[in-house]
Amino acid sequence: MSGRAVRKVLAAAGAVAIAGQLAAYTVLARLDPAGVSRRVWQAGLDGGKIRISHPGNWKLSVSSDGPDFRVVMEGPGGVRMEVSGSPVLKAVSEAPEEGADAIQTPLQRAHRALQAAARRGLQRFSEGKPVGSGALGRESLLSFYSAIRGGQAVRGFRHTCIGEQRVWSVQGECPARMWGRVAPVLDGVVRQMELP
Amino acid sequence: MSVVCQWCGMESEDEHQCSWCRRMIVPPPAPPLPSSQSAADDEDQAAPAFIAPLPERLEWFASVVLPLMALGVAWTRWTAVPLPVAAACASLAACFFLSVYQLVQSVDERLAPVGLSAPLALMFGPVSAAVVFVVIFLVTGRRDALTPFGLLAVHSGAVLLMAYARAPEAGEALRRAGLFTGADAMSLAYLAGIAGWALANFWRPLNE
Repeated sequence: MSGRAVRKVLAAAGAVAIAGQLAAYTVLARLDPAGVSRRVWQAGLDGGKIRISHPGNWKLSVSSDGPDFRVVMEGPGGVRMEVSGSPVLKAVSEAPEEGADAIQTPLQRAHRALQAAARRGLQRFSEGKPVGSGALGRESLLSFYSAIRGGQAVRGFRHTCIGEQRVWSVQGECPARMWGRVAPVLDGVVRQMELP
Repeated sequence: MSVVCQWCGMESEDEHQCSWCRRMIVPPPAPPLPSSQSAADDEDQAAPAFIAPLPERLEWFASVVLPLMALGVAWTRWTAVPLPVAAACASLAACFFLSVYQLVQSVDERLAPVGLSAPLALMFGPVSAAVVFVVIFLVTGRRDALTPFGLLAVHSGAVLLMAYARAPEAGEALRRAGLFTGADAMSLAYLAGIAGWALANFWRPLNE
């Protein structure tokens, strides 16, 4: 093989190696729930602002179902996050109750009501005890759960807090096998979230 | 008959291979016939004495730099090396071989315009600086603008490759490469590129 042919082979091999690596890294990045870049979505609501910073490869959709406001984010690999705010639930949580409910705070009542609604359609639902958290910039309750959704084991969490005009619920969920890798990403999204 | 080696500058007894550094001696081309047109050409446009044809030099450059860049991309992706360091190494290597294979002019000839390109690239990013030198070339026809342009273009490509290896999203890679902004740690990588270009002078023929 002549020197010129060797040079051409080396150049072609180098170009192919670069192109192949870049293509592979691009695909891997699109499949990674942590993403590469961050996108910010924000909107005015209740005289304040809702602001969410999420990985750039997640899809975000917003719906306003009657009085309820809902933002759903879906990432690669079945990662899902939902932010919902309900003024109705706030009224319910603040209503005076009797019996065992009377010793619960409005925040605890709202959290329990949200978890009860969320477990519908799930199998083998098990939930940890709610603990206090300040991740959303105000007093909130956080509980972790595991369940079977559509035949697949999932793990997730729910933050509940009471805003100016709504009870806000932030739920994150992913397949159980990905929990160790995805939980820090979901936690990061929650910590940078602003709710009115 | 002894000849002067264009690589080491010593007088060689063998006119084909230097008896000191053992490298091949390329005979200088025959002097061009005098004409009114060639007399009007300035010094920049005179053909260099010892230089291989452009396609051959490009082949050499591509055959060395592309495999090196492929290794650099893998290194940047799979290690925790800081991105500015990886970009500086890639720029140094690319600009070094750009000069070694005589695709840009040497430090002896083009120190001033390349020196001018450094603050421009550091402040406004290498792409803006490259545009300035292209405009200078297009407007004035000055060929000395092509050397800083070549360095800036190769530097930008090398830096962008490393940035994409670390952040494989087009927009994010462009942002991290700092090609349009300057004034950050990534801009300093261009100084490494200039250092590579200057270092290559030790490997260039003395009387090219």
